[in-house]
Amino acid sequence: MKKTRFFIIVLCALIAVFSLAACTEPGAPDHAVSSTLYVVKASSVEQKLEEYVTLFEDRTAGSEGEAAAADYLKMKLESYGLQLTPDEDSTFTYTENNKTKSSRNVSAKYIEDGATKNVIIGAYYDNCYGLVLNASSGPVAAEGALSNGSGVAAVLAIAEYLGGSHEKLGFNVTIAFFGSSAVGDVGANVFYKKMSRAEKENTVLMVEMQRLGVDHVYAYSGPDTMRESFFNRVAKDNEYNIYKTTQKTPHIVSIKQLNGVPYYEWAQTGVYTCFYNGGIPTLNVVGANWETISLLDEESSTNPNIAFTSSDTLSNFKRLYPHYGSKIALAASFMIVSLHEKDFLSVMTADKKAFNPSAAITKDWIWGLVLIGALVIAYIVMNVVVKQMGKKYPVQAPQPKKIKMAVFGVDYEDGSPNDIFIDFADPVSRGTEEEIFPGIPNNDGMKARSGTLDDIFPPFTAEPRVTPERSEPTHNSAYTNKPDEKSEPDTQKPDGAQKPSSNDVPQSAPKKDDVDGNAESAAPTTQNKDDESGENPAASPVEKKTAATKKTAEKRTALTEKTSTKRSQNTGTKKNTTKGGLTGSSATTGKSTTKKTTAKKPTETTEEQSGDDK
Amino acid sequence: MINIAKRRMPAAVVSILVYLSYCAAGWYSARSRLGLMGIQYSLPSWFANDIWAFFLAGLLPFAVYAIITMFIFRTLGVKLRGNVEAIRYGLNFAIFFANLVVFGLNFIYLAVPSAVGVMKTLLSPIVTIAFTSLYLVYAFRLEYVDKSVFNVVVAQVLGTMITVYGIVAAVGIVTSVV
Repeated sequence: MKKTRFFIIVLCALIAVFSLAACTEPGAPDHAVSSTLYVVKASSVEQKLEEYVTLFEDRTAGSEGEAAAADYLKMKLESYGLQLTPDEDSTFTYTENNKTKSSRNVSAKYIEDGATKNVIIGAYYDNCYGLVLNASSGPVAAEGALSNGSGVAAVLAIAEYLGGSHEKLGFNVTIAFFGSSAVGDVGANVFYKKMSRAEKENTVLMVEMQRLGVDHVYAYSGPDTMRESFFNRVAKDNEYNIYKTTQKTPHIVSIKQLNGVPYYEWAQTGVYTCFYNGGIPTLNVVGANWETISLLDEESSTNPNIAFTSSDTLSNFKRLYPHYGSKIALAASFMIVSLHEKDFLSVMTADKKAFNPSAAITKDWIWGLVLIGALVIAYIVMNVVVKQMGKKYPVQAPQPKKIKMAVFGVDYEDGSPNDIFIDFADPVSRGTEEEIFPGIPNNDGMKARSGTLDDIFPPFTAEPRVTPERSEPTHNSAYTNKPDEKSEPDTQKPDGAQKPSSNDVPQSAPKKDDVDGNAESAAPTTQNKDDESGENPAASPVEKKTAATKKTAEKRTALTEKTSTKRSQNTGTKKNTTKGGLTGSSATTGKSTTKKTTAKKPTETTEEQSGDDK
Repeated sequence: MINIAKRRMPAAVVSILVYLSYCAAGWYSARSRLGLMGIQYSLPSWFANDIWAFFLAGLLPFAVYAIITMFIFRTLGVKLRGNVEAIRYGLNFAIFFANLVVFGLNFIYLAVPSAVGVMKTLLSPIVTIAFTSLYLVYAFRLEYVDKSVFNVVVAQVLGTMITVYGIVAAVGIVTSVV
């Protein structure tokens, strides 16, 4: 018991350790941050954010504010020297609450001579200022400093860098700002659909930058991908405090939630979803804090979430996250440094070749079918084993614990001393102390017959044969009973009282026969029918018969004694004790009368019978 | 061979251990469901966290286990007309250790995140049925019930377990496709 307790305590401790281990910070970078090379300065992005949010507080999807913000972004990209996409290619309409609204994407390209491959870096630029997200409340009135002014500032900083002088990348870069994302990523979907087949094939990576400036910066690529290890290496080599999102974030089980594409971690929602679904590898650079035990999309371990709420204002954002500028600059710098890595294009190209968003390994229903197949096999094996066990260990017939045998018939043919004779005509116990069936007195005190037929079948006589040494029966026998009367139980019969001889002719029989005038002939018949002894009193050899009867009686007594002794030796103390009259109701049905025992010690049989009867 | 049926622990303690083991085995899936519900229904962070996910994970599986074992062993008691308490008591420990193994194997996700779909679907049924089968071999050797009727025990226990897991798998397929 002590060992068992100790073992259980150890197991519980292991469970606790594992649970706590899951609550640590596995997503945290494993490198010490001693110096950080920021290509983009924090002050630059702070200025961009402040200007953008202040000028365009209301950027509600499909509103004039959004259109004005789009014009601002277009002007900025043009000033950086990038090649703008024509407006007619970027404008789109959509339906919201049965109203047709117009919105616009803003995109520009950094093109290098001879480059064919392309990388898209984008962010959504609208907010939910005028949206009613909750029916019970009014418009959200969120300025969108965090969501997604911070992302816009980061992308503008990257665009500004690309427009300046720098080393050749070897590939083109598309800078994109997506409109109407708050109403279901409409702009991003339109942008993807308008891409030509060649553009889709040549695009090796799509990067989204969103909600930057909070506790941590996460860069999520996807589990077990080449680009994930690539970006992790870049962050480590440059000592960037970029967090990995893998095991810490919960696995989203509902694949239906995300258009049927299986996702594994939190960083799975964004404008890049349609690109991912379309087979273009993605990188989600997002601000959050997923290192706590909370299972929600937390921005901070200390501050409440402000994205998509009325608290998402520039002043609030600055107050809650005073280092927001460095976080946004970190994300932008990380991206720029990654683009300059020598093996960036080769890794992304190879990663895209291996990219399969709908791999079979991620389909739950496939594994469900595999499980059902395994269960069917297990069921078949189980049936085979059960059958073999049934053959090897067959069920044996239960050994009866006790046998009750009641011999009511009388075998006069061989006169075996083992036969038990019960004379229903004369139920008085004769010379035996034990009743074979309690309540049914034995009357086999007579010795076994010698075997002469005369003894068995005495000649028919009109006179009843009387045994001198026996007294007249003190109670009615079966023969003296009237047809409808039952015989009374002989509970009051004194022990050792002699029963009337079974050879005696009942009193009533002669009367009946006398009336009919067929006494001599009828009486024997009656006797033969009802009387087990079948002996009629003879006129001439009366004394002879009396002597014979006497002998028979003596034989029977001896036989009974012998039999009783034998029975007691065979059965020990176990005895069936059944009480009841000659109707034998209790003997045959074994009802509660078996509870009563003889005067002798209670036996196991009696108790068992009582139990059985219950 | 240790006879666990002879070293009886209080029923409440055994039940708590089995419940905690179910919590551990289902914790990883539960945190995902709770996280998703947190998005859909805007649950507060004091509720949508790992601690609640751990203790909520074991509620439904433990209740299903208790009901099913009650059904199995009552039926067995009627069929065999004997005492099946020893074998019922020992089954708790088989399930306890099976769930602990499932809990440990869930951490495969750390090494191979893309295998989470395989783990979620196959892991628990296979490990549980394997441990139950091993336990039945153990109970057979110790003759918890008569050998001549042990095939009835095997058919009832394993048959019910396989049927329940099959139904759950079928429902899972239908919901994932629909």
